[in-house]
Amino acid sequence: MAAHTLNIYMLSLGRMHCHIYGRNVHKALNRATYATALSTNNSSLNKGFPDRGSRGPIIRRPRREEGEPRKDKMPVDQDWTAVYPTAAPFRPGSVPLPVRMGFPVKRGVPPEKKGNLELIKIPNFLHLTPTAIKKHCEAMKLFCTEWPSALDTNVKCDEHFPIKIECKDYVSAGTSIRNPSARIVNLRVKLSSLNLDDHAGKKMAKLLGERYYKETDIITIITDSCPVRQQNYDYAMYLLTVLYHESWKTEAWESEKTVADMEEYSWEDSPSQKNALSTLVRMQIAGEVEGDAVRDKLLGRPEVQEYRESVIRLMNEGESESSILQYREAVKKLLKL
Amino acid sequence: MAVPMILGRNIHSFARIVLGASQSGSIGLNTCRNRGIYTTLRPFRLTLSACLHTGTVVSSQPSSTVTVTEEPDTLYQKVSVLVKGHDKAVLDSYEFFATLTAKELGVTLGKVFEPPKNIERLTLLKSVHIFNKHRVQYEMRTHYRCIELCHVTGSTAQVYLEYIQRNLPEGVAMEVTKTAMERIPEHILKPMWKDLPTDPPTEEKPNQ
Repeated sequence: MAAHTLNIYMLSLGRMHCHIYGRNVHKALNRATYATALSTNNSSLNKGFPDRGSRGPIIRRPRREEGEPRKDKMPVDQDWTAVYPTAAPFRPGSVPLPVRMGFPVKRGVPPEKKGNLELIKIPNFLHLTPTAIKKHCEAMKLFCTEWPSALDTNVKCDEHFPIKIECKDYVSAGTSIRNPSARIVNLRVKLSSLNLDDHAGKKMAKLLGERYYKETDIITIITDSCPVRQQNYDYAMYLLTVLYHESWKTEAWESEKTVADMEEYSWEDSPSQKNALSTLVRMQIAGEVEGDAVRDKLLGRPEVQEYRESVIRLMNEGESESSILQYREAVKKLLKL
Repeated sequence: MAVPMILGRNIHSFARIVLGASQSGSIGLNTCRNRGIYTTLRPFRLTLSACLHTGTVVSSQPSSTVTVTEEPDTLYQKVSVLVKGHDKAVLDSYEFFATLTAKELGVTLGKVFEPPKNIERLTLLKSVHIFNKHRVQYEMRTHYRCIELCHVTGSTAQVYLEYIQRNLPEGVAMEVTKTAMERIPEHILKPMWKDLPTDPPTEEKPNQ
């Protein structure tokens, strides 16, 4: 375009000049301008292709004719796993179904499958027909092992295999296949399944703190401090081992355990016991000698035992209809109301 | 009752077997007439796509690729597979595929359910500069599907999960939660203080 305008200007310039200088000059000038215009036109008319120099022209093979689409040659009882053996995009010529997909035009139907981008975009499961799945499973069955028949219920599993290790694996598409959350290991054991005596059990519960849930008696140890899952698993097992062995030991300062540290309420040496005994003693003060023998006798009585049980139940389990009623009955019997 | 030891099986050239099986059923029967299918044991050199184009036949009998190791198989009380995607139809198809695979491999299925979908909505400004009153709203919908398997051995779980994960469609993510069962290790069976009567309690060495 620029060259064309330039030529026009040159031509007009030439004409202007010839008006001033005479005819001969005009012819020469015109020839000069025309000559330059022609030469540029020739060089740019290389059939629209860039100049390849010594390499020669690009060889383009002629496009061959496409044959009949595969779906027209398909027998009814063919093996579909040969058409789609692996995951492949949707090929309208290979799928003999009259599928339509897409948003329909006004008062029309969804577009047909030929040249339909919507059908190519979505993932298809044409390579995973039930026949194909069964074939694959037949081949894979060699590598599978059976579950032991002796462990059919969850109860039996918990009895023989009390430790539960929970790990998570993540599969997703992205720039990296790694997921840092995959290193977390969750270890769960029931406290009752470990070989612990009374003191050791209580000490273990105290050491674990929040990680021990009393209602279900389950210890949960979640480790994520190490970068590798195997390391986290080893650390969790190490923690369990240390807790177990430490809870069996009795330190010197453990003898200073006060009533406030106790997990459960015990009636012996409690204000409730003292009060009850003093009340009973005062009730029977006429004609009886005070002393340890009297106290033991009083403690041995069934009403006192009942009272003791009801108080323990109230303190440990909390207040409920039945526990309060039980306490009421026990008190009535004790005080002979 | 003594629980029998479950020996682990290694997956040796797993993909080879799968592709070989699908091939032998399809190409072997149709085109291979001159060569015996089960007599020659050729190494599987060509990839599947190359075979399809050139039309050659590769006989694919797995020649003793199953090795039985001595280490005991891990036992999974529960294997939970959660798949997430943007398209519910894709997840429906995947669920059908996963459940059929489990049935064929003999894996006991627990619950197969659909947790509620999660929609994340964004309200952004439509224009690059000013025009605060004109906004555009986007939303991202994540659909979930959970398939739980109960009482699976380690080898079976490995086979099933590898197969499932290789056939995971595009745009679908998966999260697998495996709950393995283990016995109490030997060093926790009884406290070590009982064996060492003269050790003072302050000197301790934690066992690993």
